[in-house]
Amino acid sequence: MKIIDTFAIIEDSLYAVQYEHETEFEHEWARCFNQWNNPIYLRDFFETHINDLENEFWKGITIEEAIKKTRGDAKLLENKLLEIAKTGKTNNLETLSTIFEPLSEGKIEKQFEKDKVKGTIYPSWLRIYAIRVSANVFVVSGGDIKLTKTMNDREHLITELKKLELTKEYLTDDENDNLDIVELY
Amino acid sequence: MSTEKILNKLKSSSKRDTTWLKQAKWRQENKEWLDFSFDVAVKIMSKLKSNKTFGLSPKNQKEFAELMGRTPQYVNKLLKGTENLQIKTIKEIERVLDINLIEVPKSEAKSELDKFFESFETFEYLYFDYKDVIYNSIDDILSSLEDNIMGENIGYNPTPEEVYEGVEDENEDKYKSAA
Repeated sequence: MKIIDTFAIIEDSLYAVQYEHETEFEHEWARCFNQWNNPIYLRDFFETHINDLENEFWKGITIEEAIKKTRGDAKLLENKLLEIAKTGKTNNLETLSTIFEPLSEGKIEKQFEKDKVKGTIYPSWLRIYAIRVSANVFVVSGGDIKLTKTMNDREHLITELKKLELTKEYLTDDENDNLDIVELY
Repeated sequence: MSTEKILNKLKSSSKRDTTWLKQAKWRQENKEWLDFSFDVAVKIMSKLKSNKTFGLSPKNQKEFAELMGRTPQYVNKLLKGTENLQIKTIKEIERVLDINLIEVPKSEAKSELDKFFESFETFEYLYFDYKDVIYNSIDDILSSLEDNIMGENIGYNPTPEEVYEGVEDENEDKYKSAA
C-alpha cells in the first residue's frame, strides 16, 4: 500500500490521501461517500459481515434497513461537511476540530494524533479516519463501516489502522521532505 | 519534520479536490429522485436474493436484465441507485419482479355528499340529545330579532313538547347510546 498524492478538500483545513491501489476514486474522502451511496457495494458489505450485523447491539436490523441507514447517515454527515466547507462551521457551531475526536477514547496525543469522525445518527457505524496535523488541519487516511466494538478483530478495520500509520509516516517522513528539495534543483 | 513544514508541504504539494464537492452538491440538489432511485435499487436486490433463496426467477442481475429486455450494463447502472427512472421502467420492474414500487395514495378527501350525510347524522344525534339546547338557542335568536323589529312578532314559538308530540324516531336510541 502506497500513498501517491494528497488532495485539498477544504484549503488549509481538510486533506485526503490517495493510494496507489485505489485510483478509481480521487482520494479516500471521495471513496467513502461514493461507497456509502452505492447500494451494490453496501449489499455486498453487509452480506459479507452478516454475523456482525446480527449482533444484538444492532437490534435485529435487516440488510435492507442497514443499507438505507448507512446512506441516510452518510447524507447527514456529508451535509455537515458541506456546511463546514462553505462557512467553516455548521448551524450547531461545529467545526472540523469538534467533529473529529481521538481514535481511542481519552487518548490525546501531542502531535499527529490519530482521529476519527463518526456518523451523525447514534449509534453510527460510519467512520472516517485522519491524522490531526494541527488543531484545525486534518489529513484523511481512510474510512469504513465499523460493526464491531474494536477494530483489531476485522481485516477491513485493521487495514484502516495500517492506513492511519502509513499516512502519519508519509507526513512526517524526512526523506519525503528531502526529495521535494532535490526535485526543486 | 516540524508541523510548520508539514503544513507548508501539504499546502504546496496537494492537488485540489475536483470530485467530492461536486458530487456532494449534486446529491443534495437531486435528493428527492435519488432517494427513490436508491430505494428501488435496494428493493430489486432484496427481491433477487429472495428469489434465489426460493428457487424463483429472476434470481440474479443477468436473468433480470433478460426479462427486462435490457443490457446487464444498464441493470448494473440501475442498481447503483443513480438512475432517474421513467414511470414506464418502474412499472416494468414491478411486473418482472412482482413487487410494488409506486402507488398513488387513495384520496382522503370525502365527497361533498358523504360530508352532508355525515353532518345530517350528526345533526340528528345532536338534535335528539340536545334538542332543548338547540331549540332554546333558536328561540333566543328569534326573540332577539323580534326585539329589533318594532312591535312585530316574527315567529311562532312552539314548546319542545309541542314539537315532538306523538312522533318518535326509530333511531333515537341509537343516537343516545352513541353519546
